[in-house]
This record gives sequence, structure tokens and C-alpha cells, in this order.
Amino acid sequence: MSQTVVLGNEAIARGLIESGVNVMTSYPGTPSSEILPAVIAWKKKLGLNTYVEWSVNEKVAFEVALAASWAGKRAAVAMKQVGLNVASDPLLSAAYTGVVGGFVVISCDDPGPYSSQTEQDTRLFAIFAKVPVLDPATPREAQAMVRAAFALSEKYRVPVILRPAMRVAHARQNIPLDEIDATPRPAQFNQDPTRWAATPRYRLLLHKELNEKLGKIEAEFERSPFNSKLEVGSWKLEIGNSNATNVHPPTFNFKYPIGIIASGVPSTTARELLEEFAVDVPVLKIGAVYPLPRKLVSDFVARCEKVLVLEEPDAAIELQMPDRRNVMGRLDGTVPNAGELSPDVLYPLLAHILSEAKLINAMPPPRDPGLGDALKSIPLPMRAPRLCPGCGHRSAFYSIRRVFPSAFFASDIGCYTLGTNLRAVDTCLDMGAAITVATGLYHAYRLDGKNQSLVATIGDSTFIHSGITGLANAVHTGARFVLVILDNNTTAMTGFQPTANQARLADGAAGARVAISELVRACGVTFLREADPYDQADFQNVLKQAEAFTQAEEGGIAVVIAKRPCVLYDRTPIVAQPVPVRVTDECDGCKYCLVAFECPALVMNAATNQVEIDRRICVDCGQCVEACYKGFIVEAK
Amino acid sequence: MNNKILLAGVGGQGVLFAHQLLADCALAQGLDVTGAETHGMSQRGGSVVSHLKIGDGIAPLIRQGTADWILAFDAAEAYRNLAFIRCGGTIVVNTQSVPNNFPAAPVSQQLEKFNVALRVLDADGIARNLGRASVANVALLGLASTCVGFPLARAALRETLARATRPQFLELNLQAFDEGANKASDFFNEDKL
Repeated sequence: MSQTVVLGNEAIARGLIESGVNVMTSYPGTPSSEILPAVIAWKKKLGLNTYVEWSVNEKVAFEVALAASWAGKRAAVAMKQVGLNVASDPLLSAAYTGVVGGFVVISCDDPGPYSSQTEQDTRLFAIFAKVPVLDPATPREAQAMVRAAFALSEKYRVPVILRPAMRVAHARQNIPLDEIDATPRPAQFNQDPTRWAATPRYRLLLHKELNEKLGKIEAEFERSPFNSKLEVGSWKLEIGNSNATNVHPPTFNFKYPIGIIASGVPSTTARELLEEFAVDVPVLKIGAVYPLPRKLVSDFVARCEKVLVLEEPDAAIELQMPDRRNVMGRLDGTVPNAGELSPDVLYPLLAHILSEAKLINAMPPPRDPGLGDALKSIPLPMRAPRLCPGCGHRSAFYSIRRVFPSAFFASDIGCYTLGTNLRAVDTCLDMGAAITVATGLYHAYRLDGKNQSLVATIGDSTFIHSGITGLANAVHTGARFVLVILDNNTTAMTGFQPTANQARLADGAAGARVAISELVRACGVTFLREADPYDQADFQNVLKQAEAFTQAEEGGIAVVIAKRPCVLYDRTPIVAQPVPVRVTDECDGCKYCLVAFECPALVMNAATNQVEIDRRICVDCGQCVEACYKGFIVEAK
Repeated sequence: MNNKILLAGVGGQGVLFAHQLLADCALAQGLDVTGAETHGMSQRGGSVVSHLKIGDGIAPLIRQGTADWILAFDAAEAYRNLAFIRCGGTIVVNTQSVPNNFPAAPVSQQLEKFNVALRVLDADGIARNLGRASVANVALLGLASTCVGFPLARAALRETLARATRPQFLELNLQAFDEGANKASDFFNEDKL
């Protein structure tokens, strides 16, 4: 069978294609963003009749895909874990209504976290929502689990969640290219108001039905191929349904000193570490996490003196275990209760437990610390994330700081959260909260009769995702602040997915443009200006008008749309009008530009104590000319 | 067999391309591959690290002190990830045309103590002479492929490179790869077998 090396998210996409997915929706978010584009790539390559969309947010994506499943299609929706918060309303309801065509919800977790505001565990969400969840350990397993998830979803008519952690989503592994399910699934929605429009009386019946389904699914998970032992060492502990013929050692009362129950990425890390320690420790690997196959787990626990539970990022298995008296894990503090369970975390943890249990002689000695000490003496460049050279957000933030020296700055999720570096971002809560946080701050200060200057910043995609409702609320309640919508014409942070503000759909086909300016006006905003932040004088002028409007008697909320395409996504404006700059000899090394403008292409030459332009990364945007108020950065004519 | 390779650099240096090339080459020889990438901020000038296991590895990450190889496309990133190298491992570093920028004296003593072999190459210089800065990663891979014990042979990796490269850049990439590989003679007397 042919094999290919792919990213975990591409393996998931392949699993979706092999399952014959008919409808696939998503809202981008690291680490889930590569799934939909990989589905589109296969769709184009194989000429498949698949509907795909980048939805405006996760709730919308969830509902569109769910309804397609109600019509009998196989449907899937992909998002990052905090996206599931946005989609939680339909998720909890859909558990009751059930589905018709297979419906798989892919929610990527981010233990670490590396690129998220929380380390939340989608598997706990699954328990809360009463929806089965599969937890892949590798891309290969994720691919197989997608197919199993569709089968399970169709058999029991429930949504099924696939929960890849970031180290699965962004792992790279060779996978087999299996056959593609080409079963036709014609659209056929069967009207049944007692299910699809159930009133509370019917909801009780649906709840009971769901509980019955979960009981049957738990019984099925007792035999799931994803809940299997890993054969470590020579004992080959056979447990659960498998034929326990060669259990070794055969002593009746024998208990293993230590057993490990693990799921996801930590199960693979534990297996490699046990091989490294060369100890025979039985491992029960759980891939189907909820509903937990309690008999399988209890039988395993009964065979061990102590059981260590390794899972990420929280304690979904541990919390479901009926008897935790001999269980070590996150709940009793054996395993750290935050952060990724990397091999560097698990190695000392396992070494300690194995040496306590006398399975290894002693803690292995740490390596000579000399290397670490030597490395400390070497200065390394800080490589914290920063806005790109030429980023329009930087120019916008710089102007905002100039015009509003004493404002509070409510911001949002996207590249522009890095406006913290320019001290132009005070808050970042969740998608759309720039507007609602500014509203809340306004009303809080107004209660005290105070007139606090407030500026909210939000990106184009985020505004359409969750900003509109907050804006309608702000206008309706008479909140006053300046809202700057940073429109860079794409969803930049996650890889340039189109927004509804563009006339381009996920697969490149033409779509109808939903203009942000029209949405703003429709919310009742009367002060609306569009300006290019690259024209800093004009932009600052517009900001001043906006501020004046928020203070005027007949005024209110003022909206400025800062229009400048993402410099990574669309270079044409800069290529058409390059403005190369140079620093004059008069530069006195005051560092104002470094702090206030914070462009990676402006660097201090320690020898001369003067600022230099890093030509390798400078894009000739010319914006830093404004950032030296002494006039030492000039256009290089 | 299990070979653990850590690739380190910054956004734009082609770390992930190099990772994919090594993985594809291994798969072509019937070897399983598992690994992990860092994404997200990398496009914005951040550090990029990827872990690659060729052979029977199943966990995505390499533990510190156990990497057989570090391929560093940037000297600062080599330092940052040096704790991953195992005793007896090999480090292949792009010196980026800065003389003696790797390793600094105190580190060099430690590496000797750990019996770590060192292969430095001005891959940026090779790439610059060829007129295309972005082929530095390929030059470094060329040198790596000639190192004693490297799991992928020079000819096999060159073939994978040829398959993965667009026609207009093919000759340039192969030239960079070969120039890197030919620098192996510089280390002839230093090999620790």
C-alpha cells in the first residue's frame, strides 16, 4: 500500500476523505488550521463532490455541518479547543437531538499552551456534553480514528468528538493511503419536530435516549481496538476481552508493582521511556476516553499495586475511574497539573516512581551539568514573537499611542495581540471581547461620573467572528469609545484564510462579499471612517476626529477601519511603492524608535551606539521615518 | 534502528522543508518516521525546532541528551538546543559566514567531554555564491549526508531532493547540496569512529 509522510492534521484530512465526508466546515485556529486546506487539496486532486467552507465562527461551522448530517450527509467540523467554547451551545443540544449521517467534531487541544489562551481539555468538555470522544496518540491513529468515529456516529446517531493534541496535529509521520468510501448519501431530511425541534417534554426523552446510547457505547469501548495494552517487555499482560492464555507470570495473586494507564501523546512517550529504562511495566492505552470502559480499567487497576495515569492536558480518564485509591496522576499531584507532559517532564517522573517501586536500581544520575553552565555564558538573541516588518498593525498602534496617551486599550485575538509590544494592548480575553471589554470599562467609569479614554482594536476576521453582536450592544447601550477595526484583508495569524469580507471562498471559488463597513453601519454606528494607517498623519487626524465624536454631546461610539493588507499575504502595495530608509550619522542612540515603534528591522549597533536598519528583513515600508521624532531616520533617496 | 535528529533554525531558513526531505527519503527506504514541528509564530522571525525520529520511534518529541544529530541552520539556535545532543552525537552547524561563531570556548570543551562530533559549514556563504540565500539549508543537508553514521546516504538524499525540487531550481539545489557534501573532506582527519 502506498505511504506518504504528512502532518497530523493532513492525516486527519485523509481520514475524512477516506470516510467519504460530504460536508466539511471549520474556523481557523492553531493547531487545527491545516485540516480543511488538506481536505480541499484531496477534493481537488480526486475530483470529489465535497462541500467545504471557512465559516465565520465555530458555532456557525458546527451548526452548518450538523444540519448537513441531519440531511443524511457525512459531515465534519474542525476547530481549536477554545473554538469549541464558541460552539458549545449547539454541541450540548446536538448530543440530545442526535445525528443522521456521521458527524465528527474535531477539536485540537494545546497542552503547553503554545498558541492559546487556555490549556482546557476537550475530553472534559465531551464528558460535560455527554458526547463520545476519541483521543489519538499519533497521526496514523488519528487517521484510523476518523473512520471509526464516523462509523460510531452513524451506529448510535450521536456526534463523536476527535481530540488531537497539538503534538498529534503538528506531528509528522508516514501514513498509509487507504481506500475511499464512495457510498452515495443523498440529501434526505426527515421532518420530525419531536426530535429536531424538541420541546422540554421531548428533551427529557432525548436525554434518556442519550444515556442509553452512552451505556451501549461504553460496552463497545470495552472491546475497542483503540483501548489496548501496549506490549512492553516480556510479560505481555493480557487484559480485558482478549484471550488471557499467556499471562505471565501466572501466579494467581501476583500484582504488578506499577501499571500505567495512558492516552494520547503521553502514551507514546511513556512507551519509549519504558523501553529506555528496560523495565516490564504493563501499559493500558486508552484511545476511546469517554465513556470510559470502566470494567477494562478496573480489571487493570486490580492487577496492579499502583497505577500511574498519564494524560493531557487534564484528568479526563482519572476523573472517570470508579476507584482511585491506588491511582497516581494529576489529581493526587504525582503528575504536574499544568503544562505539556514532554519527555523531559516524564523522564524524571517515571524514574522516580520506578525506583520507588524498586523496578530500577536507583535514579539514573543526571548528565554532567557542565554543558548547561557553559551555555549560560553565551548571550543569545531574544526571539519573542513580534509584528512583522512592514505590518500595518504596527503603524496603526503607533498612531493610536500618539493620539491616545492615557487611554485603556482593549484588544483581541490575532496577530495584533502583539501590540502589547508597543504598549497598545491592555486586554485580550477571547474572540470579540475587545468591543465588550471596552463597553464594560466605559460603563464602569461612567458610574463614577468619569470620562475614561478607551480604544478597542479588533481584526477583520475576529470582528466578523464575534465582534458584531458586541458592537450592536455597545451602540444600543450608549457606550462611547473609539473602535479601530484592523482590516488586513485576511485571517493572517492562522495562515491567510479568507474572511467573509472578501469575495473568495475556501476552495478559491467566488463568494459574495460581506463588507465590514456595511455591518458597522447596520449596527447603528454613525461615525465611520476608513483610513490607511501607512498615511500616519491622515490616520492620526481621523483618530482625533473619532475621539472628538466620542466626547461630543450628540456623539457616541466612533469606528475607524484601518485598511492595510497583511504584508506577508499581499506585498503588491509595498513592491509598487517602496520607501527605503536610512539612519543618519546624527543618531544619538536614544532608543525611542526601538521602544515606541518596535520594528524587528530596527536594531542597535552596540559598537557605534546607533540604530541600524537590518537590510535582510526590512521591507522598505518607510514607516519608521515617523518613529524618529528627531528626524534621524530619513528616506534614502 | 532509531535515529533521532533535531533540526533548528529561524523562520524562513527552510527548517521544515529539510525535515520533510529527510522524512521522505527515509520513507523511500522503507523506514518509518515520526516527528514534531513547531508552528504558529515561526513565520514572524521566531525560533523553529523540529524533531525527527527515523526508525521505530512513536513519540513525537526527542528527550534532552538523547538526540543523535542536531542540524542547526542558525548558530544561535544551535546553542539554544544543544542540551538535546547525546554523548557521542554529531552537530552540524551553519556558521553563517561569521568566523568562529560556533562553538564558543567553554561550550567546545564540554562537547569534547561528551565526545560530540562537530561539523561546521558556511552554508550561507555557499548559498550566497550560488546567488540564492534560500538554498543554505540544502547545502547543510549535503554535509550531513556525508557524516559517519548518518541514517540517509548522500545519493539517496540527493535523489529525494531532486524529486522535491521544482525544475527551475533543480540545478541550483543539487549544486548547493553537492558543495555542502564536498566539504566533508575538511573533516577527514577529525572523524571519531
